[in-house]
Amino acid sequence: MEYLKTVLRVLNHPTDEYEELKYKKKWPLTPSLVILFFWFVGTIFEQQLYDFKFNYNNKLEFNVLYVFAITVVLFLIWTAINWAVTTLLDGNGRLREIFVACSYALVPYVFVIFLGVLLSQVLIIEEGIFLTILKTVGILYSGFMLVSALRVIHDYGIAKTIISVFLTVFGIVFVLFLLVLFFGLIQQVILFFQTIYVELMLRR
Amino acid sequence: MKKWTKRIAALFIISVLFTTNTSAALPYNGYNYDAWGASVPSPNSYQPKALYSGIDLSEKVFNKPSDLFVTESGDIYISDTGNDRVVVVDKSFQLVRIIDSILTDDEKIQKLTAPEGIFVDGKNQVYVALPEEKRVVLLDGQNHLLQEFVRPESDLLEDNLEFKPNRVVVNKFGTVFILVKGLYLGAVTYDINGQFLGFFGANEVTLSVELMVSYMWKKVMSQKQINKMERYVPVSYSSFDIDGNNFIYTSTIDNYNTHNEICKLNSLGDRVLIQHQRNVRSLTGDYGDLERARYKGNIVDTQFIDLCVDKNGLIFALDKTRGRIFEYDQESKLLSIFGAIGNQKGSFQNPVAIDKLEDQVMVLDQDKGTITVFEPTEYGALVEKAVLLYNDGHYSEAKSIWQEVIKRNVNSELAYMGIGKALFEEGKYKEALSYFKNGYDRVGYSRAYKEYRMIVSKRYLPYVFSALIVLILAVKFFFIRKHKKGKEKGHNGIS
Repeated sequence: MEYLKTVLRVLNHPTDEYEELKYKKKWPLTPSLVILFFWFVGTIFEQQLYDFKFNYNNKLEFNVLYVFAITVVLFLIWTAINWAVTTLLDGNGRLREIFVACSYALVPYVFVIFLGVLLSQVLIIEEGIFLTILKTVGILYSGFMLVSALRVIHDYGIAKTIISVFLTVFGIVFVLFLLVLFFGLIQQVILFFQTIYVELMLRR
Repeated sequence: MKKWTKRIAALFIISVLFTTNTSAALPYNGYNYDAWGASVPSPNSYQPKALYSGIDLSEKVFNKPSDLFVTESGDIYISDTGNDRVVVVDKSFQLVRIIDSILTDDEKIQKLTAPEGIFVDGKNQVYVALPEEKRVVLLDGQNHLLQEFVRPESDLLEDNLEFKPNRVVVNKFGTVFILVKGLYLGAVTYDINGQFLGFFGANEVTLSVELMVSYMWKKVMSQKQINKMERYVPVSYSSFDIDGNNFIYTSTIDNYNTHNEICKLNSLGDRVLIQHQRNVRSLTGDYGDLERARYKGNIVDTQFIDLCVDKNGLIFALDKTRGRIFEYDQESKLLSIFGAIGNQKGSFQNPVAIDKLEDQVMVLDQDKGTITVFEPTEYGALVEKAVLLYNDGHYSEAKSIWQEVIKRNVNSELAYMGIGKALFEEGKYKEALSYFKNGYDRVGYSRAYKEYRMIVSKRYLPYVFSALIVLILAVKFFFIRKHKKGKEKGHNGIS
């Protein structure tokens, strides 16, 4: 209950409340984890329960690991890369601060996902524009909160915040590229040793 | 005891005799594509009925026959290219006549050489495309030469292009459309007197990465360099056909971009065929097989060599690669797929031409030199009947037929869609919803839901609102009293 009040206050006055949280050094992990969980569940709902009229996902091709990757894992990568980038750019934020503050910023978006799933049940295709508007508003609000969160916890100006956001996105792409490369190479290495093993076994 | 065993044995033999008397399996299995573009098995819609060779029809083996035409009265014209003749048979496949020479005005006899495309108009005048003679001739019933159509004088034609016409159709007003091998400008059109009119309905250049790159280069290069570059031109049509309303249907062999291989062109050359919407956007407007295979590094995809339109507007397109025939309606809904490559009855070696005789589909095989006649199965006939009623808007009449179709094929999305529309018309919106869902008709579903939502809200909204008002009043009353009490207490405290 205490956590809920904090989150609602943050939603109302992002800048002020983030400053207060930073001043009080109150960064509990529980609400963040709950928000992440709801984001994960909400995305599953969005793919599976979004009403037939608007849902173009093939339910047979649903993959829960993929959903986990584009929600929770992506968020973790975001936190890590943002921490790495802002450390280089004289940011004040610690890893835990970034994690919690950014997760609070997700709340409007997650709320809009659930609202969208509910509304999609009762709207018809001609009214589908409302869902688009709703989602856009949610994303914009979340984006605004994200920027203000990063601005406060790193003690940046607005321009520097936006630069750091772009660098983070670039960093994420770069890390994903490295991951793909890494897995590709590891696969080759495993194949190499496997071939040697097979060869040895055959020539024994 | 012995009597009993004898009787049982006799019964057994009789039953064996009767059960083995079943028809042979077809050389192909019917299938269709669902809304996601995945192939789903379905009952066969057409089955081979008869097979005719050149010997059956004209006592001479067909040598590389290349086209087939069925007139309105049911006569079948087969252009027997290798034997330099056109064979005409009637509905029951009895020989009527053989066209192997042309009588000119001065009563000279010319030999017919390598005829290809054939068209017969309502007056039984025969248009024959003669690529070797570089002309199309118009003959009357007694082989008199009435008109000839030769290479037009046009600046658009490249000088090195040989005028080799291979397909011809004529519309009701006598405009002649001729397809020329390797000509990408579209069909060459003539008026009834052989006067060149212009080019009609060229394919669009398909957009590809190479095209974009060459476009970029052309911006910076000089004219001399550009002239040496490869030119990107539209793909020429493989064949065409015309329906009763003067719409021209074209088929294209194109490995690059597999969209719009079948087109319906109006008199201005605009594409007017309605595309069937699928769940995957990239598959909308794709005809033929939706799943592409790779074989020896090449993409194997449908190549439409010929097509025909029947009087109901059903389009039958012939795939050269896999010997399949795809049946579409006027809204590009895929009704059936049948045919195969092989040596059995009902499969082909090199199918080149297709046409319809009443409800039968006839396919001409160039290598085998045969005509295969397909007749609709019970299922196929039901689907065609239902879809024609459905497209004309007679949803309620089509409903019972669609229900028969579902009994034979539970995967038929068209049937669910059709029943959904019928239920919607009857006002059974709630039942219609599940049918629309199974048929992947989102627009229909949404419309049915709108009506259903209206009914539900009309029934329950008054209660909801009255409950709400009562609730608000109750809360207000409660809070005001509490507030007053609080105030009184406060007063007491101060005093």
